Amino acid sequence: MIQIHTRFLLPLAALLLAFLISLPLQAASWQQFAPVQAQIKGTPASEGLQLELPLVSEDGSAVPLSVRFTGSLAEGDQLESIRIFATANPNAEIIDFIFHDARSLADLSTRVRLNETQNVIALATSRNGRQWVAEREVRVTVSGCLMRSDEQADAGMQNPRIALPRRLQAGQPIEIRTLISHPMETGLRKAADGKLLPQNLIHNMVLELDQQPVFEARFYTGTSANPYVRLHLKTDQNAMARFRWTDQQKQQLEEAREISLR
Amino acid sequence: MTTEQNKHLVSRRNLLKGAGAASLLPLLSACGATAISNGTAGRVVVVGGGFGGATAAKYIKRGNPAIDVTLVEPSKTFYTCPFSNLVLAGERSMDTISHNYRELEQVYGVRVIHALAEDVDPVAHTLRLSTGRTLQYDRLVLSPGIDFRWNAIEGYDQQAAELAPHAWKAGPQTLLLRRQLEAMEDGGVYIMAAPANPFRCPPGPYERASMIAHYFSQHKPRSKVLILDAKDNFSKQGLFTSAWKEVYGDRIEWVSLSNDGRVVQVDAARREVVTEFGTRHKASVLNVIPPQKAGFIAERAGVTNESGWVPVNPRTFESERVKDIYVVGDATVAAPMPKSGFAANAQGKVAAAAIVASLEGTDTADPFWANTCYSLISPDYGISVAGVYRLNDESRIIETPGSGGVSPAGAAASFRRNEAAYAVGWYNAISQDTWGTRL
Ligand SMILES: Cc1cc2nc3c(=O)[nH]c(=O)nc-3n(C[C@H](O)[C@H](O)[C@H](O)COP(=O)(O)OP(=O)(O)OC[C@H]3O[C@@H](n4cnc5c(N)ncnc54)[C@H](O)[C@@H]3O)c2cc1C
Repeated sequence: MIQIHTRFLLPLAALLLAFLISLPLQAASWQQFAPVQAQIKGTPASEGLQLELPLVSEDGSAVPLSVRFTGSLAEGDQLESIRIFATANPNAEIIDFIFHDARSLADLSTRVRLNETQNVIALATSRNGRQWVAEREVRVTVSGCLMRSDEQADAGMQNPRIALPRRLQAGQPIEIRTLISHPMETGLRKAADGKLLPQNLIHNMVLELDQQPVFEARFYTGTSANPYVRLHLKTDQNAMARFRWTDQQKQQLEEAREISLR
Repeated sequence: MTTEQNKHLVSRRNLLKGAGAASLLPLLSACGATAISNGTAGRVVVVGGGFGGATAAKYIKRGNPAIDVTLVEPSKTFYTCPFSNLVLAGERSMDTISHNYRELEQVYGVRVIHALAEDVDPVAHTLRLSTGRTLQYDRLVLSPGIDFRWNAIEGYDQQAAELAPHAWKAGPQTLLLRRQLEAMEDGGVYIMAAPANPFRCPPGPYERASMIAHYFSQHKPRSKVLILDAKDNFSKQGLFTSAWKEVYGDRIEWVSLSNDGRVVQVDAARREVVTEFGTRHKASVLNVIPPQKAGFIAERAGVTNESGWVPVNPRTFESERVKDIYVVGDATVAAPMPKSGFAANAQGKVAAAAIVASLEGTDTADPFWANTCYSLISPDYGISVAGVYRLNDESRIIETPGSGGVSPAGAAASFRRNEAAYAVGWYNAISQDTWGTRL
């Protein structure tokens, strides 16, 4: 009996071991994460969306994030949005990128808040309802030599900044960087007296070319203070680009730049 | 045993326990045996004679003198980054931050070879040196510190560093920056481009800004310090900024990432930089601290990951990727431990103990580490941050809750003076522990 046992057990153990090795360390969690599940219709593709975050971040208050669509779309279809979610923040939403027309490209960077070690999920949706998903784990450690300073909670929007390349070429992707000063107070943080600081967020940033909305970024509690968005445009016509930030109180701030191609 | 194996061992244990089949364990753990070179207690080669490497070499010998230990380091003299900011301020000479390998050779019997390690063959267990020689090892320790990501900032490469020094490895670069500061006319602006995380010595840039402000206040009273930062927060920020106000008024200006502080382009010949949103700054002295990665030998050994740093098993500091290669110091991913000399020294000891044990076929206890980073605002104004680190249940490094902390805000001048004296005490102690230098 014992003999039979060991003879069977060894291959069995090897099998178990092989099974364990082949298991990914962390099962993909978008399948189990309700806020993402609520957005999913059908089966999203797992190839075609590239999400980049550092493996380890020493400052969870501003973790650099990039997302890029590399998949292919059917004739006539167009990407509608890329939404970014945090699986272990108090609120799931981090930021949404919305493509109002095809001149805005799905190649974006921003800075996000991550409360702790967790997975970050990106979900892209096309107008025809096709979807792509990508997921990355980020380990968040606050280095012993890094102490955070407190931002001013009640400040409004200030210092909108836009950077355009010096030479803009028709039909070539144009990299645009945008930044605005704002505390992005989450409404979850307590002041020294123990009271919650009221929520104070910028709602969105809309980019228009000659009055036509082209791109929009929607900000949430998961967006870092001083929202930063790096985006790409492709156009073959000169236009006036207007960047408009609107906060929760409906205050607006606008910056304009001439897009003049060579 | 590598981390991969460890992880699976843990998983297997859990699974087997769950399956009520704990009796399988003995069958599975037969893979743990270690091969040691014939005849000796084992051969260890250590690459890098800095904080991590010199410490590891010494403590392996202390743990078991019969182990054959070779240290590979190109320089005969090691200059520490710690206290090099005092050299920049003219408060210390290079001599007082220099160390050598005589104690390691003469007292501990470490063989020291002055050469650059150029390549590793992890299968054959060999290391190729710049001299053409090849060394055989049973266990390899890498403590190569950092290398720079040249051209990550447009225009900042090795040539540019001869005009606009980084001075982030101590030695000729420290002296170059010192000479430039001395030659600068009063009324000039010293500009520092500070990097994003992770990088060597999180409080280092801000200590440097302080020490240069100190030098200016003594010798060039109309001159300014401008820090252009790729971060919004930095180490001991509150203490630094209030001390700057208190000691230097508005001599030091700090521009955060969100205020367009990130330098994206350098013109070293003109000492000009351009930030992300197009602001141009002209410096009298330009100091660019570029983004960093593990020293190149780590990549050659195949131990780095996509971040350019080395993931390790924190129990032993053995590479997660390659068996029998241990990596310590700045090259590793050991956060929340900072990339400090103190941490490299502590990690060197953990790796030494693990190597001695593995060559003897035994195991080590769970390690813990301590770190203190002192920073000088002026020669008699010190601040510090301290932490104790241990492993959590998932074998990850965490800061022991409630341990450490930073110097109090608003402390008396005598408190700051004492901390500056402790900083000197720390420096002397770690120099003696690492290289046997008696200061
Ligand atoms: C301005 C400044 C101030 C600092 N102040 C402090 C402080 O006050 N306290 C503190 O704890 N830390 C401080 N640090 C940080 C500290 O210097 C580093 O964390 C420490 O040096 C890391 O040790 P290491 O062994 O990883 O690398 P290093 O000490 O840099 O040693 C690496 C060694 O490896 C050698 N090497 C590299 N590649 C090879 C190769 N291929 N072959 C052979 N040899 C090689 C190098 O020549 C070098 O000698 C400071 C750093 C700076 C820049």
